Amino acid sequence: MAQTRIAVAARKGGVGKTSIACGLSSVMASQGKRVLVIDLDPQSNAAYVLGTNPTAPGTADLLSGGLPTALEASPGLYVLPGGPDLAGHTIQSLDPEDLADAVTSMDYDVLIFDCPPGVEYLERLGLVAADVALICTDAHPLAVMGAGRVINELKLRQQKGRRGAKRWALALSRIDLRRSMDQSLDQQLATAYPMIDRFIVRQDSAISWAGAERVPLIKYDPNCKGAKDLQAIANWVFNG
Amino acid sequence: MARRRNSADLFAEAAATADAIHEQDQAAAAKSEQERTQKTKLPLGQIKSREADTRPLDPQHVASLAESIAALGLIEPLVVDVKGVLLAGAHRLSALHALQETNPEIYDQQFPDGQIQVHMLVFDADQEPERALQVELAENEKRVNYTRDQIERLAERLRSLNYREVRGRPKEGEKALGPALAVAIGVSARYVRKVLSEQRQEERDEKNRNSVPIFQKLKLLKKIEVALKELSELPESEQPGRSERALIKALPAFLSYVQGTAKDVESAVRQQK
Repeated sequence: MAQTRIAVAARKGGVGKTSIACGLSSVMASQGKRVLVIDLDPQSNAAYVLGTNPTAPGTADLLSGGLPTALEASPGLYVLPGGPDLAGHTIQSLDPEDLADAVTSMDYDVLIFDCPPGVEYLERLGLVAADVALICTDAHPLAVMGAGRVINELKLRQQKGRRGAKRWALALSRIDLRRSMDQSLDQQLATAYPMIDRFIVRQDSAISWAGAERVPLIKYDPNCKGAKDLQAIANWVFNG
Repeated sequence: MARRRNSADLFAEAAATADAIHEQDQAAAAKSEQERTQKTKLPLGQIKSREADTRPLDPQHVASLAESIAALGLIEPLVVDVKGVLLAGAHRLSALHALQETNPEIYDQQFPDGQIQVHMLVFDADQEPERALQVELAENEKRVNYTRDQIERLAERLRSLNYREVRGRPKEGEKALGPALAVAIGVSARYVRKVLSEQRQEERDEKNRNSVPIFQKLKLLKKIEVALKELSELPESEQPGRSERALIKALPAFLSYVQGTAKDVESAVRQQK
């Protein structure tokens, strides 16, 4: 089977990128896939959330031409930690396609790039290396603004025929439909981006507890709401 | 409390702002792309030689540059165009290749990531050959213009930074002055040594002449003695004139006067000491 490469991005911070990336990785691994999460965030949260050592050599090493060993979080689920080295000058001066080149021969069914907030050159490495992008936003105008910028960048790359994600969807995170903002978010995104698929990931304390306790989501609670919502996303990724 | 606005409006406003920022995003991306492609380091293999040089490479200069690069690394980056074609620094490039071949250990020490410092100018030498030539010439021109005095002054500054004129490998804590200076001004280490040793010689001479004029006299007498001996060994003209005959006659006596005076001056010098 061909490798599936997913970038999880938002531009805005704290809207659920790492929770969705790691939750999705756990869901896919539970379906029998070999999954590698590649953390592009200098804050190195992905390895932490999955219960591995966030200070081990990881993505920065890979981008500098090294061959770091991925850390095993659970059977079939691996992670390359991020870390402060990603903010270094050599990484900044990389070609946007360098990550795409570095991962071509990796032996996994799925690669998930957990993009950082704000740092555009790192986010771009992930968007260019991916063939599918998930753009996260929660029910706040500032998150919608960040998501809009990512969408515009993806569109522009596609128009210019450049390498990068060819299809993308919006992941609406921490949604609680009892709140009026949350109710109108889906409607608003449907109006602003009528061609883009939308997935709702409901507010679920299991997702935040799994991260806090550093246990992959499916191991923490395979039947939680969050796991079901993420399964729908996995289904879209694999089956279009 | 202000009346709450419709949240759909709030989201619409945010989405519109995202579009407005997009232009700035693009400009920032284009700028960083330009800065990124303007590399400050390149692997040696990616630095391409230019097709024709304005002057042939001087193998001795290459060798002494290799020596100085081994000691100090590459002080002045090579100048390349956007494709990595060399614009200025053919000797240094050749010295780098030589060093890599003859002394790979030191080469790896100086360039642990295999990257060579370059100064990338944003144009393509293929497209603008005239500009490429101008860069090459300007670079060379800059380098021949150091006078001996300037070199000596530069050396003085380096000495104050604990650079020493040493033969062979410098001891720990010491830095070799000759090679450093040679690379900085783009001449051979040999030339620098020559200039500096001449400078020292002159300083010594000047001191002697000013304080003890007797040395000057001795030097002159010795010169005259040598010249006279040479003259007397030359064959006579076939039909010597009167002056020449008189000179030939007077030579032995004159030579002995010169030698005698020289001897006197020498003993006077010895007494002074």
